[in-house]
Amino acid sequence: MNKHIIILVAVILMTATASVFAGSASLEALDDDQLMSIVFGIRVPRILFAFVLGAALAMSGAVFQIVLRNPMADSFTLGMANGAVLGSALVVVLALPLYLQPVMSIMCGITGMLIVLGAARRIDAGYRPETLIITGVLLGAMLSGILYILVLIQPDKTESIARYMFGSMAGATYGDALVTAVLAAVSGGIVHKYGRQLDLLNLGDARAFSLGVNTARLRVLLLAAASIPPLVAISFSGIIALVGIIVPQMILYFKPLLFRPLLILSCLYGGLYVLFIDTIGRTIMAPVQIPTGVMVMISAVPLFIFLMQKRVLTHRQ
Amino acid sequence: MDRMKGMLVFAAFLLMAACSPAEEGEGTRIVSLMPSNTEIIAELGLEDELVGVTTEDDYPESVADDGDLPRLDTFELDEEQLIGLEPTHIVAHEASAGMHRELLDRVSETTGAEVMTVEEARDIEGIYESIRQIGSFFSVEKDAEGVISGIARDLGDLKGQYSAEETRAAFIHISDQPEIYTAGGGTFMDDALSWINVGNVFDDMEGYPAVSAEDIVERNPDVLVSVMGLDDDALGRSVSDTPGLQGMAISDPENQCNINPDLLTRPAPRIAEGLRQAAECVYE
Repeated sequence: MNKHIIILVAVILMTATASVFAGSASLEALDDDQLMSIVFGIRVPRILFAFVLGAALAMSGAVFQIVLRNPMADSFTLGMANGAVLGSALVVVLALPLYLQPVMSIMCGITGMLIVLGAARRIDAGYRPETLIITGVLLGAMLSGILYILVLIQPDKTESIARYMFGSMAGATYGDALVTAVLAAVSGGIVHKYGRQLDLLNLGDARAFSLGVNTARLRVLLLAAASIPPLVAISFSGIIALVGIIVPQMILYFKPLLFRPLLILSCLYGGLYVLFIDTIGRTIMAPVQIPTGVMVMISAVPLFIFLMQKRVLTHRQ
Repeated sequence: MDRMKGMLVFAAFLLMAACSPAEEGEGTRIVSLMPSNTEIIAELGLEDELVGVTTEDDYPESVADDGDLPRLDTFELDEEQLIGLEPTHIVAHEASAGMHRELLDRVSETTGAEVMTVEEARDIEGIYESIRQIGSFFSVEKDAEGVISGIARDLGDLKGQYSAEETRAAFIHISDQPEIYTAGGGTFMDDALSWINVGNVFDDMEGYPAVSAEDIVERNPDVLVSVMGLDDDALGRSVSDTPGLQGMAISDPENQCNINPDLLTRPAPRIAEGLRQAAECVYE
């Protein structure tokens, strides 16, 4: 395990270093000021934000999947991502102060999740994973319809629809990376602390309860803790979907793990995945930049289908 | 009896007039589907014949202030509304031709209107060509030549005034991050700016490419010519919020030119005015 982590961290550092040197501008021909602007003004904050965003998404996905006992749970399939960008757009349309953007994103994101969970439970008492994903994706489509109307009403103030629907790392700042990293660290600390109880939760509510776990309280606490970092990150970047499902589930596909090691590996692999895919997206067709959300969708959906075919995603854990 | 006959003839005239107002003589009814076309039509003295313009049209003032003039949404063109205007002439544009061709064919069949598609202007010469095209469509070729020579005179003055200045390299700012669009080579704005001795840092790319912030840093423009229609403060914020641009020449508000996009992006007679504003900002 430790060896695995050390190798993984080395790979991440190498990828990050390579990413600093890759980009549409070639660094050799530039003078020092331009070099500093490109490396420390553009590429380094983007790399940092990509990593912490991926880590936050994968971490929260791993928590959702255990707490909801549903391998398809993630900020996107729970309707949270669409809720968050809608909240972010609402702040602009209602001319509220911009610092409220993360707050509104959290509120709308959690509202979206509650609607999806409530609706899925009513539709299907057996609460199959597919019901949740269909409900979540449909609610997401509805929320993006509302978002589209907002963009139509105030095209001058809101950003382009593509900006919200396909998350992008262009424009990432040190501030975005720092805020996301702090929230992810706090939330990671909380869920790590409850790691043992989460493993018991996996055995089923009745057994967990008989082993001394206050399941209802634990669920609410962990859902709240795991929701906030990705929602805030999404309010900065736009929707980045499915990372929270495929990263933890691929790890589990290769090797069943207890929650704590799964949490750590999910963070590292999630960060590495988004960092890698974003580097590809901004270099492969340079100077045209493919939004990160698009690259993630293109690469994640085949993996998602693979996992479904292997029956990893369609059975309750 | 004669009186009776007279009344009948009069009534018949009224009926005929009511049935076909468009075909009876004076009624040239023009619908313009592009703001730049509207500006050219107005400049040719045909603005009173306009019976429909787009929702984006805001010039000349007589068009902008005319609350009764029907407006069409070019992006969601309403076929019934267009037919209801009973146009005799529809002036469309190459940029939206793909979207509208079939619809306009049907409208033309129903109303008998003649449809002309103005070709996209890729340089100043292209504006002259558009004016000639519209002029011959309405058989006012002489007026068209008059308008063209007016523009050519203004542009010639500008060129003379600024040709001694040192060439400045500009970044044409069309939209904000994360999708920063600019105008590359072979575009109308690229050619227009060359008239005031302003170069384009992205002239090696064709059309309207999306570029990254690092491409802008790499090309290190002297000035930023924004046609986003922001106010000066918002433009300053937009530049300072774009990662990587903070230390560059264009981060200095002195080097940020905020030009009314209607003047500089519409291939229309006011281009000389737009370039004058741009030149004053760049060199003063």
